[in-house]
Amino acid sequence: MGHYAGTKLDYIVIIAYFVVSLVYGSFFAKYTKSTRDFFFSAQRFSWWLIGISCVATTVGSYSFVKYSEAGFNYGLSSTQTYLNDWFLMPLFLLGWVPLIYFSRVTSIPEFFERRFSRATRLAGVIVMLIYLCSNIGFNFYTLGVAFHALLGWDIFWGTLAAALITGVYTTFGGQTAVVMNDLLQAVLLLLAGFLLFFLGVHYLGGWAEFWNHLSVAERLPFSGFNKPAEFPMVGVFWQDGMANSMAYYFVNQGLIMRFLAAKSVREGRKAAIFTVLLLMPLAAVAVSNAGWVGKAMLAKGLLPANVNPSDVFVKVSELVAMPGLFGLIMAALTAAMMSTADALINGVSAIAVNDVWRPFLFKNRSDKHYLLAARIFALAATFVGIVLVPIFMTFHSVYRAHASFTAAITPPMVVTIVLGMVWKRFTPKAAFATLIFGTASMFLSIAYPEMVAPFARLHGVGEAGFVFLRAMYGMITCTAIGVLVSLFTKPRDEQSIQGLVINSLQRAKELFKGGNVNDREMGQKLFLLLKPAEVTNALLHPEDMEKMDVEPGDLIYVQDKRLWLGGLKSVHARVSSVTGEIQAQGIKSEKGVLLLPLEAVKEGLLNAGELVRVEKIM
Amino acid sequence: MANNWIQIAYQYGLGGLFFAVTLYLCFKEEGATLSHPEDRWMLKVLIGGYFGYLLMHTLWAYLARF
Repeated sequence: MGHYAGTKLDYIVIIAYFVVSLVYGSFFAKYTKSTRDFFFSAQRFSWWLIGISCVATTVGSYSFVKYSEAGFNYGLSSTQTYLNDWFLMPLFLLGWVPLIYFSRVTSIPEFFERRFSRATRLAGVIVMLIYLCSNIGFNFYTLGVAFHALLGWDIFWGTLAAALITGVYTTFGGQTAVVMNDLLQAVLLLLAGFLLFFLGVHYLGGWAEFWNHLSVAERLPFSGFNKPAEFPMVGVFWQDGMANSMAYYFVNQGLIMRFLAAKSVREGRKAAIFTVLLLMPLAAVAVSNAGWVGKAMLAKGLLPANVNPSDVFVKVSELVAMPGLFGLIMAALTAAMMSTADALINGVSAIAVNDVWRPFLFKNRSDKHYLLAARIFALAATFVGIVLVPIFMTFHSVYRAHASFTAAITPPMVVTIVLGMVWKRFTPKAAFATLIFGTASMFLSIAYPEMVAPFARLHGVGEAGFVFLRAMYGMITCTAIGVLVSLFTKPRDEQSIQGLVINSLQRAKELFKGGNVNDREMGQKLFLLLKPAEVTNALLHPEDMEKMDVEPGDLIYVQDKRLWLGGLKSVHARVSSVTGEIQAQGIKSEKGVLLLPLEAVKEGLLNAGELVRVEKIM
Repeated sequence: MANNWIQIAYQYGLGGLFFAVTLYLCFKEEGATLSHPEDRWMLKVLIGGYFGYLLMHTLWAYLARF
């Protein structure tokens, strides 16, 4: 296969993107002064920023090539995997997000210790670190493969610059750099994807030409129920809709930290709704359409009959792209990799610091010490990912190997989290057994595929489809292990797991707030003049408090009046009542004015004397 | 002619069962309550989203024939 090689304009676009990513991402180092900033951006972001960041994380460098291939082979049903997440939303929005946010959990392994036992935490640390690091390497590797296919670059050297840039801005800018860079990357990959679609349809001669050159089967939203064996709908439902989607929303440390970076649980929920209802369908079209266009081109005789499906993204890009646009597509592939890898790198750093370094090795050090450790671990994770690239290059089919490994570890983790969240009777020994024996049973099923056969035969799926139904096997097996062991072992005392199970969510809220929760309707959001003052907490005029429906002790969120910043300049504060001390100092609350401690103004990077928007959080 | 009715029934039936059971669990265990305005809003959005996706896939499967 010949390579396009790219024109001067394409290289200018690619290099410009690299430079912008590095400078733009590293700029946010000034917003990262503590580990709370580094891992959770001081919990400041709005729903739309979090949502856009989530979809950028979903789309990896392999997504365009993989889903174009699926689109070419199976038509519009390649979108199935992006459009089956809604079934998990009750558990995610009403259970997991509020639980981890209010209980101030910083990582999955930490949840495991607080909910179950230290042994479960350690098992979780090992699995998570292997999972995250291998995914970082996989993303780097697949970008290198794409650059090699498109431009003829060496796989390793082709991805090195992008990998290093990702590592640098994540190391210095932390979660803020991750989220803000994801905004740029999401726009780029969606833009490139839709531009490719538009140009492809235009190349074919218009929408009617495109649509009419697809068969009815290729236009349908789902593939055959149990055929073809390589892509049966029932297999996609179980592997992707159930197992992988649950792993993505409940187990992916990088993604969880995104929701923990939201300014409130409500914003986190809105972000998830925005992602699943709107952004995922858009992403599904952006990553798959080259395959659909390629199929229509084939039917029209514009592509050779022997075209390799795995090359269709490259072929279509070469045919429709003009100088500059090709560079944009390369930049989009790079953006897709960066936006996935940066979250994973930040996730590795979070687990390394919060689950190993701080609790076991170096206790009671300053936050500055842990921030430095976090940065070093972020760089180390980047380095490990880079080292994995030449190792992956030695495998005949690393895609299959990686998919098998991911399929093996996700059902046990998912079942452990879900049972732990909804069932207070789920015991620590059962959680540990689910992780260890569940993972073992998954690897056994890879070595002995006939273990999956009953689940495949139930749906009439052939042997080639076993890999999909392994997810169903895993979910059921792990659940059975968890339930059975629970029935014969002792659960933890209910008091000790308050705030960590769904039925104690109210308690989690109270612990988070440090008092009774004001759960009435949200009041108005007001624009107030910000004034720093010698106060311990935020001081509001009683009339403003009434409009906002806040009481002393409630938590408020204060953000720069430029809402398009998405919360980049913002801070949380607690409302105080007018005390004798405040009166003695001659400080008075004024209508239309918010008095904040100077430290809070600095922390939020807010401008004194300017309007800020204030709303009740709790 | 190819169609997707079995697939839609399976996904929204089985997926819907999972959706309904977990939704019920969340309210039964008081992770959410109908007395709370935000939880009522979430319930409407969740059910609306389920039927929204179902409608989208059903329409899509129907229009694919044309």
